[in-house]
Amino acid sequence: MDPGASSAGPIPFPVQGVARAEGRFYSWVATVDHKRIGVLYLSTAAVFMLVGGIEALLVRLQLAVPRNSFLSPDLFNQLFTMHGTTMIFLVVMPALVGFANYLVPLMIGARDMAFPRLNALSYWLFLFGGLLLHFSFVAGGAPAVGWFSYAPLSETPFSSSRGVDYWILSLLVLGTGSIAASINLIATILTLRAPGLGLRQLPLFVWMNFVNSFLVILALPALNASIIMLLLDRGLSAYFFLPSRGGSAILWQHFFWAFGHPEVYIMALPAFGMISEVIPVFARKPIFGYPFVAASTVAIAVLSFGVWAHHMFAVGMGRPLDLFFSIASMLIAIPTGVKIFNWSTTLYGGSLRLTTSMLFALAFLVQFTIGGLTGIMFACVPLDWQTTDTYFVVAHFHYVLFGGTFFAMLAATYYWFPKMSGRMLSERAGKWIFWLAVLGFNGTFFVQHFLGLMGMPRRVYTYPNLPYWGALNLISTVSAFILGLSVLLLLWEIFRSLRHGTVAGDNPWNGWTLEWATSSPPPEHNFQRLPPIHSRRPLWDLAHPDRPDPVLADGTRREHPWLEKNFVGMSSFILSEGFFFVMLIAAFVYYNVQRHSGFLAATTLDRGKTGLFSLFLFSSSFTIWRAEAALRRERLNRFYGWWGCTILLGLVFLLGQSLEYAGLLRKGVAINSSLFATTFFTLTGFHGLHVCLGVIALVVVLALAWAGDFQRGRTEAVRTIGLYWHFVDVVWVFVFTTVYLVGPSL
Amino acid sequence: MSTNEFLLSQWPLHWTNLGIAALILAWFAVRWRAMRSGRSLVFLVAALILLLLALDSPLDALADGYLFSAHMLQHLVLLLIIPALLLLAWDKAGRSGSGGIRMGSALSKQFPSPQASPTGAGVAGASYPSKAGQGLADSPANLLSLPVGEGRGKGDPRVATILYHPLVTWLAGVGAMWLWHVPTLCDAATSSPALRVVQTASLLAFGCLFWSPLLGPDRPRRLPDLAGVLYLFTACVGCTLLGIFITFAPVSVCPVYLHPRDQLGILSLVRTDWGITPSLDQQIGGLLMWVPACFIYFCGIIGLLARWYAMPPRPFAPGAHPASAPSTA
Repeated sequence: MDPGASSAGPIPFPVQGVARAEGRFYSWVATVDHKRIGVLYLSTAAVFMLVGGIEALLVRLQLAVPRNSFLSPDLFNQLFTMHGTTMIFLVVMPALVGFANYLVPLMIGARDMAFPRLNALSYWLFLFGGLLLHFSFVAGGAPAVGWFSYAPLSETPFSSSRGVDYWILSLLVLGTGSIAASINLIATILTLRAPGLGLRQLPLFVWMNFVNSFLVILALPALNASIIMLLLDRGLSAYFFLPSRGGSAILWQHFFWAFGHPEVYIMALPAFGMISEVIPVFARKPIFGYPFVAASTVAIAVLSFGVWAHHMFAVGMGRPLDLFFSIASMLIAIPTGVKIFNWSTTLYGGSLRLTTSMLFALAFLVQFTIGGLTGIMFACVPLDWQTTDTYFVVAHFHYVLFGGTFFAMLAATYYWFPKMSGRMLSERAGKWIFWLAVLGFNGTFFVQHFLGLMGMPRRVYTYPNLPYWGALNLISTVSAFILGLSVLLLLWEIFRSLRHGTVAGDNPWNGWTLEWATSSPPPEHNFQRLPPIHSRRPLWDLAHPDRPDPVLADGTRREHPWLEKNFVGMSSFILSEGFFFVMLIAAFVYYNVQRHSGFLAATTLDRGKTGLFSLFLFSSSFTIWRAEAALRRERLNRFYGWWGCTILLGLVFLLGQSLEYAGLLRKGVAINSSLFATTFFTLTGFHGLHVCLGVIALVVVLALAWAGDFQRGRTEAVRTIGLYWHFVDVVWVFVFTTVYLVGPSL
Repeated sequence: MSTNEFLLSQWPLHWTNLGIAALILAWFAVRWRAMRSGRSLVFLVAALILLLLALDSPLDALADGYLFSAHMLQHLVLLLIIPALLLLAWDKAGRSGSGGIRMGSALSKQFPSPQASPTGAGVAGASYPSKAGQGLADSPANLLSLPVGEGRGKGDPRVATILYHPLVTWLAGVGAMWLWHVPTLCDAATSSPALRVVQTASLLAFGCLFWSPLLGPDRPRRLPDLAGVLYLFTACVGCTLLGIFITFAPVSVCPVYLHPRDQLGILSLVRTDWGITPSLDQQIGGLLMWVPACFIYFCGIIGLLARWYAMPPRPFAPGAHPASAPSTA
């Protein structure tokens, strides 16, 4: 198949799984249809939301009155940790992925995601990751260290139960699933758009998911790297983050927040996208300043990587760092403010239809702005010092994540439910749910601003009876139950409407984007035929041929080998893996500059020998290039030869590394013997693991070739795996330079 | 010496710096007829003023052995800001007059794809060579080749193609940052005036190379705007990593600044009145490279997005591709 066909023609789609599926249950388990997977994501997230909600209500019950003894301190710690982790990783992120999964292919006029089976894998990773996390409750206690697991509290001496290990493992599984889903989204959006739909015309929801996917693949490796280091600390007695043996607990904070701050925007950007779809449709106006809304998304994404240290003002980083990060953090308010202004201006002069969806969007605007403003307050260092680790922080991030993101998801639910189910949600019940949610949410969290300013610390299982504290906490708890009631009502309403809602029709809201151009719910292949696409609102053009939107579509469709879906997928994966290695290399450098104790790089490493077996790895880049060239000229035997050579060279490198490890271990250098050894084994070990995976992939490709796959012209695997192999070699250039050439003289 | 005296006295106007400025001015004066425009002049004047502010001012006096952070500021202005301004000034030259037409025809000659429309320079930023027929990348070099135009330089076109390859220009820009902060080189460049001239000139040249795939006058050779966003973002990561290292390193990156030779007699002013100790100094230097440098790249990203959204659509030809919907399977 040539790369052009994959993006223009019908998508090759592995239908066997679906065709074989007979029972209704099995058809859901075996599905690779993006709509069904989207629904699975959303419903699983709803179940976890109930779990996380119950955890939160238990926490609130304990805090309802001063000196309460409803929960034991340890159980309280487990519950707030699990509440945070569940809501972030098992509710908000997967629900956003679920919406994207369902809607992105429909909105760009595609048949399915680029990699349907990878899509199913992402979902199952999410489900089992979530189950793994909650299994800790029955396996000796859930993690009790807060959602950011600060070291050294999360290290074995201070958390000896298995809870943190479950936390680490499930986050690794969940993170892998998120990265896979994001790679899938990037490849889908870049390669499967309908003819005439340029990147500048994408519906804002799609655009923001596109940008957000880059955020995910770049930020999550930071989390993966740091939790792997924590896992090594706990499992193999390494000591990355154990200050008692020379490790650095501060480094955990840097690494965690290098992920944690982009994570805030990972949870916000798709919500911005939902709001950008809902508001124009119900204001009956095109979005005001599309390029500004779209470009400010990129601005937020880029800036979000440079401001993590504002979570650490209280650590004592020194005045210059505080100053620079204070300014950088305030900068991020500008693109966010641009968005708020654009949404408000879209409302201005529009003929508003105050449907439930619109009401949730309007509440989002107000509540997110409040959360954003308290966020700017935290960028001021002195204010941050006063309010850090108080309920002011709790109020702030709940205004952003619940009042913002969650309300946006509710708006999206009301907006897209008719498309997904073919039936409307009741507007009358919707108004009740909306007002209960607004009352419950603001009642719960607005008072926490005051509690925080009065100095009530977060994460304490109880508090003394100080003036107003009891009353405010009681208000908060009662409101939390009202909020819980509204969520239950919503779930009941969804169940009711699935059977008894009024029939929606294709386009109940008079929407303008492509998902409304097909039936509700869409058929398995999504579209019978697509309308012509020239502008940002193809359905508007169709309905108003006399005054269409300005034409934006490029007249030619660009085909380029860079825009082949396997190539795009692998490049995104490599970008993500590259960041993972950047973190490992950074840790190596951090721990090896001017630290002279125990085993050191200079005294333990044999530069010459490693250099020799590195040559084998580097030369394998040449052989794989020759193999690709041979295949292009259709000389299969020569291809087998060069490809086999590559595998051999990779194996020789692995053998060399094993010998090196064996020698070091004989000398008594193990992962727990010095900081150098800890970082050395982690960095080179993970590279070795990648080489192993590469060799396995090479063998699989060889088997495919033998099975005759390439005679039928299916050679994407060769190009894709070749790219991965080159990446593994390039990483070794950096690792070798850092560890063997520069390391000894650091 | 008080702060005021120091700030007022250190404006030396070295002949080398004036020479560099004069060269730039002469280069533009020759082309003045083609590029006569207000914006171009503003960019040029801004570049020259910044050049003199960076090299012939109290900043330079501080960078001359006293403060690493002053050196870093100078470095950023020379590598990232002045070259961008110069290319922006030069860009105007390419657009007016016959330049646009010439480039447009060169473009359609080079890419005789079936859909090649008579494009103007306006869409040149998004042009791809048509390689759709090649399923496989035939070499690592090709694998890495970005969708940019082929060389059409006056000299050896292959040299020009390699020199203007985005990977090379990226390495030039980020590499210059890393290279000049290898402790030995950093020390040597600070203590030897001759090497400093080399450093200054190389920073300007590498800076021009770095920005050329985005702002270069040869529009067909430019990167597509969205690829440019990735180009700048990765460069930002490259310099952030160095900035982070310099900020947190327990060792001195440029040991010369630990014990300045106090030629101007301002050491006590710097150390006691301003309170900048060597370790604080290095921290500020690292942070300058980390945060404000990335802000410059960030501004570039915003500029690219603005240019991308302002680009007119290519004329729509319904018959240009199989018009059937992709979903009739």
